[in-house]
Amino acid sequence: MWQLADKKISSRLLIGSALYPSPDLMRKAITASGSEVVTVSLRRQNIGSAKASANGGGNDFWNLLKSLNLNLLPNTAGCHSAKEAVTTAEMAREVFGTNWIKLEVIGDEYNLQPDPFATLEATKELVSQGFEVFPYCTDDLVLCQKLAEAGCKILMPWGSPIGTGKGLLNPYALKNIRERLPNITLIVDAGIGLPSHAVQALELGYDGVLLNTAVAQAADPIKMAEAFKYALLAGRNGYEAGAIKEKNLAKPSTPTIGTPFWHQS
Amino acid sequence: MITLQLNGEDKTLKAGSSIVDAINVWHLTDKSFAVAVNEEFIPKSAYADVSLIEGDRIELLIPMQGG
Repeated sequence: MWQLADKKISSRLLIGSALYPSPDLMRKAITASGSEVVTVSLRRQNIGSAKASANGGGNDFWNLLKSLNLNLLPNTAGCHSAKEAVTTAEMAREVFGTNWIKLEVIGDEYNLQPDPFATLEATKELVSQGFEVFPYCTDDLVLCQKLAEAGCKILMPWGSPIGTGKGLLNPYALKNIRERLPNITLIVDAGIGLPSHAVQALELGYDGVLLNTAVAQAADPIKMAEAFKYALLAGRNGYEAGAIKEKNLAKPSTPTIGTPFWHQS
Repeated sequence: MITLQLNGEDKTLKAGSSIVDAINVWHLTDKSFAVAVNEEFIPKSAYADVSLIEGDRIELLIPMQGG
């Protein structure tokens, strides 16, 4: 078990609920992943004749989600200003009944890079309102320090841009954040494509990984969800076990004493 | 009558209508939703107290999949 904000949970995988081929596959993949935290969003209700569920959301989605009985992490995806993000967070708190918020303020449309300044501004306001802010941020150490000073107990630097599957583009920066902020819960959010990327994040000492596309868009989302479940276990065990130091000089593993056909040169 | 926007679409309402009136008149049937007017969150407890005026921009948001 580990502590995520005010909850004790087992899985170190936080998973998204979007982009699955069907609601049924979403449910099965999330279950197979073992994740206990699912991200959700708020979107405009379809006005007019079409039901909201035609978008895949609304009452049907909400009922399906509730049946999974997991912790919900609403996001502010699509917001471009601190004001929009704060309002969306307030709305999410009412709808989903949680003070957890994945704060996402986009600064650039091309790579969906979060806006560090607006993220910090929104964080300060949301913390003052009693939210548990999970900020999606870049891997900039100083930004992470400022967010922690603003009251974040959890930080979620990106591995690489959302949906790219490029993995951890800057392990050095991520490692620096881990070393400099030892008491902050750190989750790599975005860019994870392979189970090995998740392993790498946890080997660096990260507490968890948040992903969506890597599972939802896999050829077999259920199998990929299961692969990530084991990847998170492997990565964490690898970190806790204490890895050997990397060396340049080769050293045989097999004992050299008693080597057959040995001769001194 | 006043003209305002609901989720980006033009709508009309009787002058002096509240958010409760708007929900009834527009048959907004989703059970779980939240409302903002002109980018300010309006808690459910205040729906009856907010009088909508000409040009108000209402956002009515529902649960959706997210990453």
